[in-house]
Amino acid sequence: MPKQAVSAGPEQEGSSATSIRKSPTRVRGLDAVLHGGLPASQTTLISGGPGSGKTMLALEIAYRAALAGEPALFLSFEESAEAIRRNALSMGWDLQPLEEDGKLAILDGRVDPAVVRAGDFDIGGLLAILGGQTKALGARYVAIDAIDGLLRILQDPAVEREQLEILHRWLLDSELTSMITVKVYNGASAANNYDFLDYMVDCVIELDQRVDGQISTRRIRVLKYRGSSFQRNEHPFAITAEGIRIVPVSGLALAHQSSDRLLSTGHEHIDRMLGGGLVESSIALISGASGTGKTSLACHIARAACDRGERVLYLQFEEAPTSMVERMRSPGIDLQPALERGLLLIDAAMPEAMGIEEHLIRILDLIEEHGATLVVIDAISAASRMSTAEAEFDFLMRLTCHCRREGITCLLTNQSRQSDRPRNVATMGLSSLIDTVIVLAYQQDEDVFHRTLLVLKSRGMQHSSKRERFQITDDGFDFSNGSQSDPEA
Amino acid sequence: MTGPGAATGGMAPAEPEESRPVYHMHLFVAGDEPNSRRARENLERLCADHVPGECEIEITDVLVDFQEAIDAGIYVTPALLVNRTESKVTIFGNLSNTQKVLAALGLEETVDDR
Repeated sequence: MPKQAVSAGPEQEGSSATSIRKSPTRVRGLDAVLHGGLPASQTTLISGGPGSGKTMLALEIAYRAALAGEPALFLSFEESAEAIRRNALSMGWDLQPLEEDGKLAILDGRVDPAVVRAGDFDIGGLLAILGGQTKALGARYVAIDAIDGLLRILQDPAVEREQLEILHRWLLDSELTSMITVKVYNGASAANNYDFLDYMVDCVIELDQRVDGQISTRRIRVLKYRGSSFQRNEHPFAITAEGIRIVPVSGLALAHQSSDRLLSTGHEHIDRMLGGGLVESSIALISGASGTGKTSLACHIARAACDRGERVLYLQFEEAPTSMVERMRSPGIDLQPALERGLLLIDAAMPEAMGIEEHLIRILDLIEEHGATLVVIDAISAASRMSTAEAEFDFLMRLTCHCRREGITCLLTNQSRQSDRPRNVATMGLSSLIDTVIVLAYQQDEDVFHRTLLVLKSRGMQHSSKRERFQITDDGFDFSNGSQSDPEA
Repeated sequence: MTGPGAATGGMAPAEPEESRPVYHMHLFVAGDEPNSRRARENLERLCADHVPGECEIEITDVLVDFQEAIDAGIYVTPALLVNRTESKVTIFGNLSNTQKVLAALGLEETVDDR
């Protein structure tokens, strides 16, 4: 049911030939969505409701351009230059040195509300200021924030439109890569005045902040990009300590050719059942009821990877890292050496502690910082506690896509009810994304409970289709006196 | 530059017997486009008609001096900044609506004695 949240297949692209010049936004993740950046020397409209992050996005693009040596002008009709500098500083962007260096100019275009209107006027002043200041800076980028703040004083929709057309023509002639932000109120007619802007400009980016199951999520979507391909889906984004962070789903990642390198689970018998081991940069799922040994198996595989010198990120959503490390001693899985060598990083976060995109971004940062080649998510059911079912699918898809693209192997655990049929284990429509499914279960044989392991699926591998019994001993997984039985149909 | 309407030049606190305020009119225009030209004419006539000798007119062409426009926060043209000793008024437009300008300046219509 939640499948429609995001299409899992490669996204439909616009025209495939990207011939137009692009100006990078340098905002993490955004250039991938825009297939390179904003249209160079053209105008991009950034629209969204109050508090959706429009100003922040335009400011970050201007700031990063200036930092990269491409001077930028930022003009706001809503906030004072001082407030903008202060907001930027809260993101760790110090604008003042760039301003002093002549790389960035912040202008305050707010209109005195007490102004008297007596006869016709136009935006000639704005154009003169833009012309003079961009020339003085040698600007390549210009951002006009909250243009509605200026247009409002014209008090005539027809005149507003005419003046915007004049501004747009001026911007095109100037050959500046320009951004205009405009406030859009949900369903309110205030926005309709500026609808035509969508048609006028070459690129339209829409931001939106909404509340899903009490957790607010920010979304970004490119509505239009004349002359270029782009990712059409909505993308979650977060405003992090370093700026805006978008997690794009790359069509390329989904088409990624799987590696043929096999990673040993560290257990000969389990490797054999899998047809040799886990495929590098694939996604494996360990499913089973509570107490069937999912975490033990995941830790076993993690430790084996660390023993080979690989770096592992273990995302533990269910228990404290120290208690897990302690608990793993009894089946003989000593994680301490891997922790001490810094190869294993166990991260614990409360699923409810933040919104889904914050989780996602934090995890991606951890993966990058740690240089992980194996990521364990124990357990994916945590994602459902972050937000709605749709967002849960979205979260796992984005995370696994990212890992696949980066060549990182993903190991997920999922708690199923004992009654679940094995075929139902890959929940949430994720099955198409998952390459390998290992099912752990209990089997009752008269008065004795046996643990069983079944490789339900292992894409492209000659895997065992036998359900095999095992024991968890002081020495780990023991298949020595387990008899085989056929899997349920 | 100072326009032709400037009569009370050195704005020293002189002439205590005449307590009428001096208006410092700072008009921002965009070259010679029609509204800017009209604003200039309207302002000169208005000063001469209603507050003769009390206006000091300064005109900035934003096409020549954009920095002045930035400093004054003038993004539309024509625009008039009126500075009186105790108050400031901003008026947008070509000043064709005389009544509105006078009201903004605190000058009653009754001043019209011609």
